[in-house]
Amino acid sequence: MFKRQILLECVSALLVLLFLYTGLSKFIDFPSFKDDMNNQPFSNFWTPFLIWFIPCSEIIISALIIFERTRLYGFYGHLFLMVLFTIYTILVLAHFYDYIPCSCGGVIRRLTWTQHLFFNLFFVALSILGIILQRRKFFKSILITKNSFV
Amino acid sequence: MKRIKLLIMSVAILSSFAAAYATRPKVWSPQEYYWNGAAYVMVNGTWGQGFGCISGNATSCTYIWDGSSYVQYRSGTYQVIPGGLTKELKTVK
Repeated sequence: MFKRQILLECVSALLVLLFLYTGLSKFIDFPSFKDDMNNQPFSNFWTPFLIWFIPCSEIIISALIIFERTRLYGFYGHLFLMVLFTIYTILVLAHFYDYIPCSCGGVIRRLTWTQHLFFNLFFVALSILGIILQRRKFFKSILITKNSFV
Repeated sequence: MKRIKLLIMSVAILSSFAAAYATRPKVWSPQEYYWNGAAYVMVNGTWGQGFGCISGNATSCTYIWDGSSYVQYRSGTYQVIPGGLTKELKTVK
């Protein structure tokens, strides 16, 4: 039980570390992030929306994970975003787009697209692990509450 | 247990802020140059709008002047894009 709690806490901390870091990095170097977005293979029409949506959602999801009450929603949000990023990475690697853009976001920009894919898959797996652990904890707490009433 | 939880989460939050600050760009929007085969020439407009660096090979795309020499800034193949990437390259197959 104790080990599982620590594992859950470490998973949460890693997910917060990733999204809080990448979200903050984007805001710190906002002009470069905007340029990077313009350099992506999809239309520049999406840039004004994405430059706010991506870092804001990363920071909001981190905040959801930090607080225990909202942690499960945070894990789902993390999983959703990571799956989206992974699909995009697969499309880039599969040469779905006419050219391969830069991989952007803090020091993560130094990764190649293949490394990016494995990196994303690792965090997808961590999000799933977080959801499983948090749900177990939630159902256990319900059982304990019910038993205390019996 | 609560203390351990608090410690782990505090380390993660503080590390995120520290890492974001430590890896911030040292040079804000430096003047970029590209090699035209004979000389270093100023790039056309801004990254993603006036020019792009098309990946796929490990060549140097743009350079910056560090005070004594030109050092690589972006990798890829330099490409001038009149009208931005939208018109020239952003067509999905």
